[in-house]
Amino acid sequence: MSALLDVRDLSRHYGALRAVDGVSFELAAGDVRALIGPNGAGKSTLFKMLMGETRPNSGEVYFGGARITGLRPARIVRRGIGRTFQITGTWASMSVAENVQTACLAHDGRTLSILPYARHLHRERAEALLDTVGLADQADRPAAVLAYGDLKRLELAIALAGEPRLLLMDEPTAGMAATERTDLMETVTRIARETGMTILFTEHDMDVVFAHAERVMVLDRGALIAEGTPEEVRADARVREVYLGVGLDPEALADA
Amino acid sequence: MGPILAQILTGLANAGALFMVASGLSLIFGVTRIVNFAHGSFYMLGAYIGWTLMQVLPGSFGFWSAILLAGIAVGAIGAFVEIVILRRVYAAPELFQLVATFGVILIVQDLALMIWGPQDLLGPRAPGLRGVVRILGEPVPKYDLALIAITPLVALALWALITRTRFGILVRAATQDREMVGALGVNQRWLFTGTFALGCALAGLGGALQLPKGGADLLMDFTILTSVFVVVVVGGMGSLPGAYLASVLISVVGVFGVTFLPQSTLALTFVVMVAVLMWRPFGLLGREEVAGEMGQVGPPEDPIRPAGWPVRVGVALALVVLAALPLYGSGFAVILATDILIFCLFAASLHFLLGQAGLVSFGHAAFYGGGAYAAALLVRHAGAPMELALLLAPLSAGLLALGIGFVALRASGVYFAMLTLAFAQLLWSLVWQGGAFTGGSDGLVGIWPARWADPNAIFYLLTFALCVGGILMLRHAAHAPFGYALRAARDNAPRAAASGLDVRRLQWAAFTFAGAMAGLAGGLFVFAKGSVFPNELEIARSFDALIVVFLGGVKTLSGGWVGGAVFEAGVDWLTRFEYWRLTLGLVVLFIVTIAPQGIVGTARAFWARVQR
Ligand SMILES: Nc1ncnc2c1ncn2[C@@H]1O[C@H](COP(=O)(O)OP(=O)(O)O)[C@@H](O)[C@H]1O
Ligand SMILES: [Mg+2]
Repeated sequence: MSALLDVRDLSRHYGALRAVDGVSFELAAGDVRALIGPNGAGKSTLFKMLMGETRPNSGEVYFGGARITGLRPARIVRRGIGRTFQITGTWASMSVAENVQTACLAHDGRTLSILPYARHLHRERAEALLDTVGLADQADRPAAVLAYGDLKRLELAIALAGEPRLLLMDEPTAGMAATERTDLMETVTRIARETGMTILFTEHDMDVVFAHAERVMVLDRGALIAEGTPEEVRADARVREVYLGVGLDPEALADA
Repeated sequence: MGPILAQILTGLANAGALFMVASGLSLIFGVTRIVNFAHGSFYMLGAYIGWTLMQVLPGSFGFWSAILLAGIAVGAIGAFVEIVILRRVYAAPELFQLVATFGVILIVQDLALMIWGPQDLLGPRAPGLRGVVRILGEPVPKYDLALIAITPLVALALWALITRTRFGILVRAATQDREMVGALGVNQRWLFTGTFALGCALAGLGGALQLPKGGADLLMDFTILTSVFVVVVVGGMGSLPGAYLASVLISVVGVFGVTFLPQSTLALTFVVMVAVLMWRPFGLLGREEVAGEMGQVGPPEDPIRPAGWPVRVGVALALVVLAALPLYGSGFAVILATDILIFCLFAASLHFLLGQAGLVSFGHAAFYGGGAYAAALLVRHAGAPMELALLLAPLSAGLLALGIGFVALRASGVYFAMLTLAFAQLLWSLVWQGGAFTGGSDGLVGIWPARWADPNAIFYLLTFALCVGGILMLRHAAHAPFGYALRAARDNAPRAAASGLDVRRLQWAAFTFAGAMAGLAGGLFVFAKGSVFPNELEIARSFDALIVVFLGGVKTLSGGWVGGAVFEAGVDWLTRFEYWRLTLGLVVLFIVTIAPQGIVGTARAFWARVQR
């Protein structure tokens, strides 16, 4: 079976800095993969290129067999890629349910319509999605007043509203309590199992990575230095060195 | 060869004042992140003050000292403005800052009128530089040659100041690294004041230097502002070499335009600007990150919801009472109410653009005046009946917005604001220079409603139906999917794009929609007044609408029409005074510094407190 996502030799430079430097990998449909690496390794930049938010300096991205390099984000979303942001992105002037309803509206492309009341559209679907991420009881609160962890879950619901075939999650659990993290990751992986959705996520919490990812890729200074099952990556000497180098506790890697 | 060289020299001479004003604007923006819309006013002040000084200081020495002193005086005035007004709004959203600087424009206009009177002042000739020299057989004024020499000297001095002094180091650091500014602590205030004063002094110097060429008049503030915006957009905001390069380019193109295309000099420079913008959206030497974010700063507004039944019934009753005005109101009241309704629609259209899409357009009069002229031209040249003209006015304005939006939306933030203003001014100059076709400054007169709608009461009802209908439509659009998509793009554009919203296309649609609504207001205006003049396209008209949106409150649904009603009624009253701009300017500054939430927002906050 051909790969769902095929990244070939992708690079992005900022001046002399090689934020992403010749990265190649493939994802098959249904994969749940983690992308780890120290701060500044280039994870977010890689996501930006996959979504069309930043143009690569070189390299190609194929999705579902078609080349998507250089397409605008809105186009790439239509092909079936969705994402959440490291700095949580929601729409602060709307209620929680309206956030998801708006994402549904965007998904079925009815955004130029000025006739119906939007708050009556997609209400059920929005409630179902909020239920999935555990926010049903907050549906009618303004998004602006949500706690940080709830915002993360709201953004997940927004992303899921687009029914992506590939979901990119940039540090989806950062700033959450430990139990919340597990809940959220279990929700996403369950959806992935049920719908065949593919997941690529970045994460700093090694417990989360090793508990939920089938395979792990390690990025360091823009380059992929390791790829394999959690066990393989944990045992990899270079990976240990990288984490030692930036002062992270290597025990965290070993104990997890 | 000779004529071409002479023209290039004239262009280089003209570039002088332009560069000084543009570099001042750029410097101020770099450090304070404020686009000083009042920069043209400081240029104008420089010219007037220089003129007065030249009357009292004799001879060659007097002439040059007058120029220098004018620069210093304007710098001091700039420092005063910065300390008294701008310091209060640095933390506010950019839009507030822009409106504050516009208040300054109004005040300076009336002060200049008070002090120097309405007549244009002829600039004195420079002693010792009166004649011309012949270069390749062509006469070139000596003073032009002096300007060509002086401009690079000023540029060099500025460059030395920026690279060689402690003040310059701070300016560069602040321009390049925003975080740095905060770390400066107390110094920051004086850095801001110093930079603002320096930028204003440059503008004043430019104004005084061009006296022998152009004299001083009360329109020069807006005239230079348009050219300066073009220069800044072409050169790249925050880049001094860019400002110089673009000043020369635009001036030379302008001079050639006078020779080959005298009807539309400004149009030619716009072609150049659009070309540069297509190729480099951030200007020849500009950097991307400078463009900035505009609009929504501060706490997010509450989620909106359609009004409940009690409110709807109340509004319906109020509308019935309003519609019945001809039955109980005086003839004057009916005419005034017609004007107010038209203005409310105009303001509501801008309010939609600003509030829902977060797009700060500084040239919304282009569509109001555009619709007005479209209707008037159709009646005048095609003999169109009123009904058709009223239908085509919003369509034409919408088309215009489609075109202008295509270019202006390539930029964002302050660039977008400057571009919209520049385009409105282009349209103004086209109409102004349009000769018999547009009537030029004489306007188009004798455009009356169809016979059935001619009685004031009937026309009032027609206006009432169209304006209230338009305002309700704009309001409903905010509750429709379009409104939600726009707010999504405004609240968080990357998130919107990652959900499949085409942010630029949405903004383009909003721009066109708002433009069409403004055009409808403009079409009604023509038939209400029976005439239209170029001032419906003026920058001042765009600002009226902007002030109104402020007055009403940006982050409210009703801010547009409430502000419009208060403003139009207020102006009707204010214009009975001689110096009403001054008063208006003070009101604007008052709102921006004291009641930044506007009428509706303040009333709502007050109501919330009462309820608690
Ligand atoms: N727009 C940008 N301009 C300049 N440098 C950038 C930009 N975006 C990211 N970088 C740099 O690229 C490197 C990778 O950043 P990023 O992808 O955010 O890393 P990560 O997400 O792995 O922490 C960092 O050194 C960062 O400073
Ligand atoms: Mg990151």
